[in-house]
Amino acid sequence: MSAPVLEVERLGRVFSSRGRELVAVDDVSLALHEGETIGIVGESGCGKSTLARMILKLIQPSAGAIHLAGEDVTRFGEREMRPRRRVMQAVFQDPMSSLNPRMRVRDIIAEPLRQITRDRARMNARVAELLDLVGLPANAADRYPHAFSGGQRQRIAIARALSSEPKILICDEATSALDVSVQAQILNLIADLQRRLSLSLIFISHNLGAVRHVSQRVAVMYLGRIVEIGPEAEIFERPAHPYTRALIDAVPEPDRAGADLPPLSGEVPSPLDRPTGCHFHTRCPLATARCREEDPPLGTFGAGRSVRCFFPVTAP
Amino acid sequence: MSEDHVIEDLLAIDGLSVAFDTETGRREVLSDVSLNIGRGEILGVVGESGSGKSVTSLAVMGLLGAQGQMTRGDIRFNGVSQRSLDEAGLRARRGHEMAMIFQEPMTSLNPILRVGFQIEEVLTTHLGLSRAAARERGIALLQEVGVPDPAQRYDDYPHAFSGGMRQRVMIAIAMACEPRLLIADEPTTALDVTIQAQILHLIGRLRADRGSSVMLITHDMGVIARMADRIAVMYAGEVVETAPAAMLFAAPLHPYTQLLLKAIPTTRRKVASLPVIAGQMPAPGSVPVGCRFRARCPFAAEGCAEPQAARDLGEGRSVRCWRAGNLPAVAA
Repeated sequence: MSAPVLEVERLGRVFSSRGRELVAVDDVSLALHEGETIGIVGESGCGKSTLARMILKLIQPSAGAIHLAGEDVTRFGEREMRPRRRVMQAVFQDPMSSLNPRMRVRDIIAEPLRQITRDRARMNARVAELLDLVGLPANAADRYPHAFSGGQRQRIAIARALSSEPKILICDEATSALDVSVQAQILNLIADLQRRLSLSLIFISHNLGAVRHVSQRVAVMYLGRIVEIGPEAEIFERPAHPYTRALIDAVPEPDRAGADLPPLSGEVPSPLDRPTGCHFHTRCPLATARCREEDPPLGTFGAGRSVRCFFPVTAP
Repeated sequence: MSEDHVIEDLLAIDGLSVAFDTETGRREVLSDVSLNIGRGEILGVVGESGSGKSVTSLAVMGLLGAQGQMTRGDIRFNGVSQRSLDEAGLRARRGHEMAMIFQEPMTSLNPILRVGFQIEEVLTTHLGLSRAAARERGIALLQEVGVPDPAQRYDDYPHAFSGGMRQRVMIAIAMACEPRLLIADEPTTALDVTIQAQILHLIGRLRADRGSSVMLITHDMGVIARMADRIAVMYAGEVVETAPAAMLFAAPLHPYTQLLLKAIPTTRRKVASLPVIAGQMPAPGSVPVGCRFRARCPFAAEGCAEPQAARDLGEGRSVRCWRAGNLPAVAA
């Protein structure tokens, strides 16, 4: 396999809150390869968005390293990052608040291009090309964001993200605000663009079905850490970590009508006060004395999979 | 009263149309909506943004406001027509006989009042309980909906509760007067999936224990599948299909229902490409004559330009599509 386009090593981020330490991300390692999509799932407060913001260099990590195309960018400031940002772009949840309402679509999409060219004709040609790529009509360029529906605005946000020809796209809840029929259009668009442009994707979502649809590998996070990572089919069909299994079981789906499994009890503990031992032991139906005292490492579990659990629920 | 008329449904919405007065004129947002909820039954109402599902619930609660009007049809609750009730009659019905919970429990709870006080308010207003009796009952209600240490949490403010716990408090308030009908409008949409499972489990248990009827409104077909006995699918202000839950998922009849179900990505399998419903739902005021889905429908034909009435197919099924049942299969 070729060298990863993006590699994060033992990344961590601690926030200070009234003299207490909030561990948002802890010991996260990932290698993203060309043309690959890694999905990241987990509930509110699991650290998935903080991880995305560190990868995007919007916030500084407290520990670990970020390598972009083989180059260590961990300590780079804004000035050093600017020329490198064109290789890594992002699409966020709410396209209304991420698009400037006072700019025409043409200027919104062309903005990242200013790093590359100032030639008006070239920029206009590229905008037309991008609108076509994301399935919007050419005359969309002269209108303002409010003239578009939620799904169309997300297409504009994707066109902007692609304008600098990035290698990596970070999607943070990119389809979460959309209706089902529109979500399907955007998920297909993302998958299609990835194939055509050989993009590498990090797709963060609380929607497990959407993650399975676009991802080749999936990482499951709980209280700041990856508890399981592996190929999507393994994760969804034979989950090994009890949390992964509980999470998948909790998703209500039309093709599992009537399945009313006893829900996982309790709530996610506070990241200000993480449990001792395995962080999941307070909600785990299989927890033993060992799990309460000893912190399980993220161990190799079969081909391409790792699990942070002493008692995985399936065999490797 | 109609206590003896057990055969009659608890709620019967018959040919209801609702219009809102806006700056640019009157807009019809519900057209010819007919729905029934039996006693102890969970009816799921599912649709995308703008389908009219929330307006339907507000009409049932009598909460359309000054701009909203029932222009046709009627809502009968427990045998009594809503048109026969004045505002005082509607208010007495709300909270006591029917209660509602919403998506965002933080905005439904008053942030400057203690949680216990907000439960007591319902009990003293509608049931005439004394403060002391209301407190005792309130703590028991928190216990019943699964708030840990209810006596200690009773005097906390809403901000001290998590999203899931706040929704439990809202359910406690809604259930305080043992309403016959609970209307839940996207009750779990703001919650994480493991907490959602807990809240759905709780709603199901309350229905089983108390025999309440539930109108569950959601955009999430999975939530509907897990909870509902019967399902109504709404599109652009109309009910396009009604069916018992198992039938709807096994053999959806309306092309919109068929396509919507296929457009949902699931954790159970991976498909190369999700079938897409092209275009968008028409907005109120710009709905076409005839079938409102026809501009997006892969099976649209000449007859679809004619107004579509809901066809009763028996077995509790109805569909607003003249071709339904005689359509080619949708490619997976």
